[in-house]
Amino acid sequence: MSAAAHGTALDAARAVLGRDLSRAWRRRAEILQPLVFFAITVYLFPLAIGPAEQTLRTLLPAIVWVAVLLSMTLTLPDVFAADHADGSLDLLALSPQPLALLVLTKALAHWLVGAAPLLVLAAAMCAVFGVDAYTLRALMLGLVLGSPVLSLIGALGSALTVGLRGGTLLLALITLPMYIPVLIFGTSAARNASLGLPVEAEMYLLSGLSVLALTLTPWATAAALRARLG
Amino acid sequence: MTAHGPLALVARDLLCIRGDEPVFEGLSFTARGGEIWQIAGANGAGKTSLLRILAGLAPAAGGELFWRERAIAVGAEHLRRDLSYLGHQPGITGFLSARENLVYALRLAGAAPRLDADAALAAVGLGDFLAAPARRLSAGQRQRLALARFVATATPLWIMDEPLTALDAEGRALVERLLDAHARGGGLALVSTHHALAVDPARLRRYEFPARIAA
Repeated sequence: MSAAAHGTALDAARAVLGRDLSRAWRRRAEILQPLVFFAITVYLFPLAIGPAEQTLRTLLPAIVWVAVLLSMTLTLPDVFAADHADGSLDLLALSPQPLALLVLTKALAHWLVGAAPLLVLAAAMCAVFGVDAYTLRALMLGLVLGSPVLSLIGALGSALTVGLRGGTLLLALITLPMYIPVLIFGTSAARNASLGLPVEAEMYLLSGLSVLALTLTPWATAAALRARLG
Repeated sequence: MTAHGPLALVARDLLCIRGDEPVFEGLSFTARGGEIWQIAGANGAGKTSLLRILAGLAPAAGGELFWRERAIAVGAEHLRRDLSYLGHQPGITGFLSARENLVYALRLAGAAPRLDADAALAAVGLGDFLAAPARRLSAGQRQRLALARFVATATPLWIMDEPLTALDAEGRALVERLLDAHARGGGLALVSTHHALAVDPARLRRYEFPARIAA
């Protein structure tokens, strides 16, 4: 095996990533559900708005962003809730490796499983609806820069609600408001792009949010998890 | 990792509160390497709460706790390095095979492996179920799968919450054999169970929770 030496933090993180990904792969029918949910949500809007193609094209980036937020919220219980039910969360918390690194890895797994396929689907759907190339690029770049924040904040919300009754809805209520800054900058980038305006400012802000979430949330998530397990 | 101090878990005046009521208070003991501590007591007496506090998973509401002469707070790193813990839920993922579950737990624990995963699974009687998804295993087989962690690693402190649950006579004998071997090797084990433990009586210590007086 080419894996990092047994007993290192990196090896533990790789074990966590590998486990979450193979668990997702074994339940791929379930993993497809958020994708289908995303597609249906986006397709509801043309039906509701009617055959006003230009309106739809203007609104589509915003619709895609909201649908991405909602679909990613659906998969958040996979981050910690399932592990809490079967006791494997105790094992995670008792690992001698830094818990912040391990929860960061779990957020990465959530992004790979719950966000990356969504982004591909979002790009395909926007192309089908005839969104122009410049807007599409701004939308996708915004999603790529912004969606890690959603997974990281989602992991924090997921840790805060572990083991609570009615945790799934509570989780959405906690995380969705925290998604607002990402939504604002992401949609404003797409809107500017559709008007032919520059989008650098929004991209820098989204990158900044990503870096901020990347550096702060793992520690908060680890602390929340320890508090919830106690 | 460098060793610090003798293998001993010391509790002084521990207090545990659930809701507004104390579950237990004034609990003190010194458990040393080479001993097997059986924690007994009625349902709801606080056995699981105590073991979660000792494992550094939950905070005690009062009192002090030391492992190898260093205080234990929640998530204490020096404790995590030395500990193997078996909780109420054995920590097994149904979608992974028995082998994948064990390898994952071992990589997470990072402790020096004593046996490789397949040998450990064979030692707990799961040699024929290496690739079976864990969700198809019976409750007793899952418990054995959780025990395989204890076979495969050489951590000095074992904390087991009801390890005999769902095990048949042979499985219980396996747990007792493991405990004996662990204590003989100088390790410390704390085990909650109602059953009598057929282990070396010279090493066995019993902590019996006093019956709680209903308010």
